[in-house]
Amino acid sequence: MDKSMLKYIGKRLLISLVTLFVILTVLFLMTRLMPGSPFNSEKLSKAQLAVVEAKYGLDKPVFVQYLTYLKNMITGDFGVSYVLYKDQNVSSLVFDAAKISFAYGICATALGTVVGMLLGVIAALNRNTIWDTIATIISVLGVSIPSFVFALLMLMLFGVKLRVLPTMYDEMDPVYSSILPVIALNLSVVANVARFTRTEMISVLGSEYMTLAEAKGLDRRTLIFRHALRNALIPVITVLGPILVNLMTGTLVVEQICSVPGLGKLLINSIRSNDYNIIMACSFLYAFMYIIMMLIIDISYGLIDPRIRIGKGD
Amino acid sequence: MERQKILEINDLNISFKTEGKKLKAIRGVNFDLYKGETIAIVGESGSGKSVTTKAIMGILAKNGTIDSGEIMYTWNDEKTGEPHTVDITKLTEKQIQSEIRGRKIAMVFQDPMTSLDPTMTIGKQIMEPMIYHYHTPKEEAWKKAVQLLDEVGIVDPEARMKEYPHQLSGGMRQRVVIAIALSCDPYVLICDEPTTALDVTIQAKILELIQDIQKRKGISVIYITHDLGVVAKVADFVNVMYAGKIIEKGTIDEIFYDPRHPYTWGLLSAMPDLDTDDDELYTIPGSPPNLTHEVQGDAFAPRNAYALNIDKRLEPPMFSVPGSKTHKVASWLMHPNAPKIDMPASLRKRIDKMKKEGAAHE
Repeated sequence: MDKSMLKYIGKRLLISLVTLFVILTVLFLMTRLMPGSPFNSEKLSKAQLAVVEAKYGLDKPVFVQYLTYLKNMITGDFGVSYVLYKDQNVSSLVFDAAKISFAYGICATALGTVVGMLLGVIAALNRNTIWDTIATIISVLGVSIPSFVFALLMLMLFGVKLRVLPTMYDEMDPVYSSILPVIALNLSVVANVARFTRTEMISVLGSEYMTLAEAKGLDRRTLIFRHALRNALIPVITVLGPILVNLMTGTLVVEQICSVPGLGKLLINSIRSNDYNIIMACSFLYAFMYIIMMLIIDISYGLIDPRIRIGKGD
Repeated sequence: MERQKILEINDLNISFKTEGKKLKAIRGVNFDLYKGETIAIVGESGSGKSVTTKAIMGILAKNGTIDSGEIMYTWNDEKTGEPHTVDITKLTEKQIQSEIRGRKIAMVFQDPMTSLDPTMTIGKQIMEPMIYHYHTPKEEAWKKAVQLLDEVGIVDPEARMKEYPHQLSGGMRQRVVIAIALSCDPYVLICDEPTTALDVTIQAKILELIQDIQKRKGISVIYITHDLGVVAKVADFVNVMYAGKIIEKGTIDEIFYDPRHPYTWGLLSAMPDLDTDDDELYTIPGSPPNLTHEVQGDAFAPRNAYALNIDKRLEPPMFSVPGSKTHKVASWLMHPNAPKIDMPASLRKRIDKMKKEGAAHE
C-alpha cells in the first residue's frame, strides 16, 4: 500500500465522519419531533411525568439535549433505555442484539453466496437448458418474494406441518432454532448472487481470453476453475457488501416473526415505545456499518483485482 | 529437400445451425500446408476463414458441425522419426484437446488487449500449457517461459513474468500471446489477424517476429487476414476465400502479379497505396451472400461486373491456370470457351508498377 492509497482511505474516512454527523443530527431531531413521549403508556400524573422527564433531562430544550447527547456519545455513552428495559445501558442492549443479528447476517450471506454462486455458475454453464431455467426461476422467486413471506411459508411447512424445526428463537438452543430464520434470510442473497454470477459468468465464457485458454488445449474443468471462475466471481464481491450489511443490521420483519432478539426486533420495539436512545443507537449503528462496509469493499476489490489494485501488488 | 506435408484439408464442409436454419459456412475447402512454409487465407469478414482454422483447432462453436471432409495432420514421432497421420475430424474432443490443440497446433489471436486472462500473471499464462501438457517441473517451465519472452523480444523478461496483462502495452501483449502459442513447441502456428488490432508501427515488427521464429523453429504458419499488405510480406502461398469457398489459390507472385478471379481483382484494386491516380478508393460493390440460402451458381456473380450467364446457373469448378501447377481459379472465365476478359486497366497499371519495383528491389 503506498501513499496514494492511504490518502484515499483518509479522505474516505473524513467524508464518512461528516456523513455520520449529519445522519446523527437528522435522526436526533426526528425522534424528538415524533408525536408522543416515552412515557405515554404509563399512567403518570403531570407532576410525576415532570419528575421522570427531569430525571432523563427530557425537560430541557431540544438543542441542549442534542449537545448533551453528542458529548456523551463521544465518550461512548449512548444513554439508557427509558421504557423497554428500564434504565439499562443502551450500549450493552444494542451490543447483545447486534451479536445475534451479526451472526444471522454473516451466516445467511455466507450460505446464500455459496449457493447463489453455485446456481449462477451452473446456469451459465448449462445455458438455455432445463438447469438454467430452474436457476432462473429460483432467482426470480427469490428476488420477488419478500423474505418474511418466505419465512412464514417455511415456518408453516417445517415448524407447523412437519414439526422438524423450532419456529421460535430459543436462547437455550440458539443454533438449532436459528436454522429457519437464516434460511429465510438467505433466499434473497441466493437470488441476487445467482443472477449476478450468471451474467458475469456468461460474459467471461464468451471472452477472448477464454478462447485463448481453450486454444492452449486445457480441458473444460481446468478452463472453468482456473480461468472463468476467478474472473466471474470478482465482480460479485461488489454486490455482497450491501447485502451483508443489510442482513447484519437485522431484518425487521423476519426477526419479529421468529422472535429473534436481534437488532431489528429491538429497533421496532423501541420505535413503538418512543425509546429515543435505543432508536438513535440502532440507527446510528446501521449507518456506521453501511459506510464502513462500503469502504472495505472498495479496498478489498482493489486487493483482489490486479487491474484496480493501487500501487505495487504481491 | 523434399517438402513435407503437415496439414492436408480435403473438401471440408462446415455448417452452423442458427434459429432453425442451416448456414453453410464452409463449402468444400481444400488446401495443403508444408513444413516451414506459410500460407495465407484472405477474404472478407464472414468468408469462412476463421471457421476453417477453428475447425483445425477443434474449437468450433457448439452449433457448428463438420458435415464432410478431412483434416489430415501429419507429424513425425519424436523417438522413431516415423510419420504418423491422423484425421482431426475423426478424433474425439478429448483427443484433440489433449493431443493436438495448443500442443501441435497453436494459435495467435486478433486482439491482444482482450485475449489474455486479466487476473493471471504473464508468467503463469505462459507456463500453463507446458505444465499441463508435458508436466514440466515448475522451475524448468519458469526458465523456458523467461527464454520465450526473451525470444519474442520482451526486455527484462524476469520482471515481466510477475506482471499482469494490464501493465503491458498492446504490442507487448501480442508478443506474450505469441510466447504462449510457442510454449509447447507446436508444428503449426495459426495467426488469426495477428496485427489488425495493433498500431501500424508495431504491425511490421510483429510480422517480422513471427517470420523470424518460423525460420528458427521450422514451423508452418497459417495467416488469416483481410489485409493483403500482410499477405505480401509473409506468405508463400495464398488462398482467396469467398462465401465459404476458396476461389483462387496460388503462390504469392501468381496472386499478386497474375490474378485471374474478378474477386481477387477487386481485392487488389481495393488495396490503398500512395500513388493511386484516382481520388477515390475502389470498393467491391455489394456485400457477401447470405449463406442460409442455397447458393445458386457462382456466389460472387451478383457482385461481379464480369459475370457470365453460366455463373448464375452453375458453380464453377477449380480450373488450373495453364502453365502453373499451383495456380488454380474457380471462375468460368477460365473455361477454354469463355470470352477473353482482361483485368481492369487501372489494376494492370498498378501490377506492372509493382513488378518493376519488385525487380528493382532484387
